[in-house]
Amino acid sequence: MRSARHIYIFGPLALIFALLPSASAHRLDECLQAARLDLTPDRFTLELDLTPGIQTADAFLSRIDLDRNGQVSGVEADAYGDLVRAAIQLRLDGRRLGLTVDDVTMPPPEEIRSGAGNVRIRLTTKVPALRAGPHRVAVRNRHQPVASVYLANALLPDTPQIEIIRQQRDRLQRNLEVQFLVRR
Amino acid sequence: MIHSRSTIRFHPRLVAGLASLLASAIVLGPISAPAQVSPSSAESRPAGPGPLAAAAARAADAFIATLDDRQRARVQFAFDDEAQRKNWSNLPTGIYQRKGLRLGELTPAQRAAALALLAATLSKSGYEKVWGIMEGDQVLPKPAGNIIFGRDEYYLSFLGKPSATEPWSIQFGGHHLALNLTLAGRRGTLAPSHTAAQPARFELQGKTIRPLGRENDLAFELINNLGAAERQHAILGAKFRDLVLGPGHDGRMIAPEGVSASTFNAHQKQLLLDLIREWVGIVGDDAAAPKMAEVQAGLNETRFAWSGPTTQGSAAYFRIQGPAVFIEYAPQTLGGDPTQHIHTIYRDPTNEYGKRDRKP
Repeated sequence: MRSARHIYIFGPLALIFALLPSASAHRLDECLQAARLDLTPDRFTLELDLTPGIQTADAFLSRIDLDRNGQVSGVEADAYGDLVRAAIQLRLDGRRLGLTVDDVTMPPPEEIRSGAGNVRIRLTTKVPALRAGPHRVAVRNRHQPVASVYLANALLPDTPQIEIIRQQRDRLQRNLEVQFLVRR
Repeated sequence: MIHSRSTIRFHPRLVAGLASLLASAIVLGPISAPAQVSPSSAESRPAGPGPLAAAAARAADAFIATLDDRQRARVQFAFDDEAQRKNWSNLPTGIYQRKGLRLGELTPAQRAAALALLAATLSKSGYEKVWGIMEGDQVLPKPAGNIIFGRDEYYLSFLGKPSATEPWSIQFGGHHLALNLTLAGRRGTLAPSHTAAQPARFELQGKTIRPLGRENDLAFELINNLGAAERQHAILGAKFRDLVLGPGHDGRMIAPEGVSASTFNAHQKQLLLDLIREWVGIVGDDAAAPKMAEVQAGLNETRFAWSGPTTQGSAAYFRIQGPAVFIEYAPQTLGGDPTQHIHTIYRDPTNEYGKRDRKP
């Protein structure tokens, strides 16, 4: 169930930000995709922050602003959330679980063009009752709107019922496997 | 309908960016002399023992006394102003707008009082680190346009009234620096704070300045001091190109990874403590010493993780995570040489913004 969409209006102000030069303070030619996986006994949440660099921002926005009208509508934000969801696989003990887009937060395109804009997409899945003992959850991120660098981490669980044992990633952090223990 | 539940709003940064653009057109002034912030100034900071909060409150009151009414209104925020508490970033003005008083708009006497407050609050090494970060920001080539940074572009603000006994906070930050110091009587914390450097190594008046040099050197010393088994546990297979819990990630904590310090010998443990002290010890000893004692008490539950080459001089990410401390050090590829552009974060999972200390 989608709980909310945060979208932003932009227009003439784009010109101001378009004049910003490339600064050394922020990302330039790549998009940072930072994924955080939160495990609870009945729900897994994957929060993905996408921060495109200045030089990739226009290409990145072209994947979102489909009608090229200079605004990101709710429909377009939803569509982008679905695009990301389709590119991410989550498996629990080898079995694929369906993900739902729970929330999309879209900053103004001007901010994205500045290299500081952070698109946040929250994906969730309900988890079947987990038996006590060891489990594995694997996340594959195949979303690459532009050249990307990745971070993938499990959050420290809020509950003592779940203990993270080990995290394994591929070198680029597009794949994350988390071994965890369920206590009942 | 999905869109009946959509929220359309102007992003705060957009509004702030506009304010910055207007402000920069009005208040840009000449850059003041670097001599106002120097290691030698740190040596002349108020000496003698005494609770940090009392010294800080005296220095803050002295600074406030130099301000006019309009400036006082801008520097002072309510202690429970959570929006201002979290209003910090690694980014420069033009992309991110801070509140408070900007060093560049202060008179020489006001600026000296502001820096005296830092000197009264920070340790000597902490003050030198801050000075080095600001000087590095000054020598970093400036782009044309609205992105502004340099030693004038740091902001000072207070949450709550300066006090020797009651909780209050000092915020000082700009590009590549965010100090959030919360004091509550004899207790104090600098968490969360962000230090960074670009360039991370530069020449100034014939001296090589490395604001985060000790952090780098101690970390390489530690990783190279570990045995093969410990090092294997410490080194993560993946590349970490950025901070995981940098600015904007308050309230989150990731699962710990890396080698447990419980496997370290006494020398390795001391190296780790010395490394952690580079962040904890930015603040004066009255606050740093009890925090280091807390860190030491949890040392056997502390993990050290590494990503990248282990040869001194190369670019490597590392992370320290214990019951009451979280530190990341992440070289950035932006700007070419990643050893010349470092971001770090210091957090305290038990006491962010002095949350624990503020309880009666």
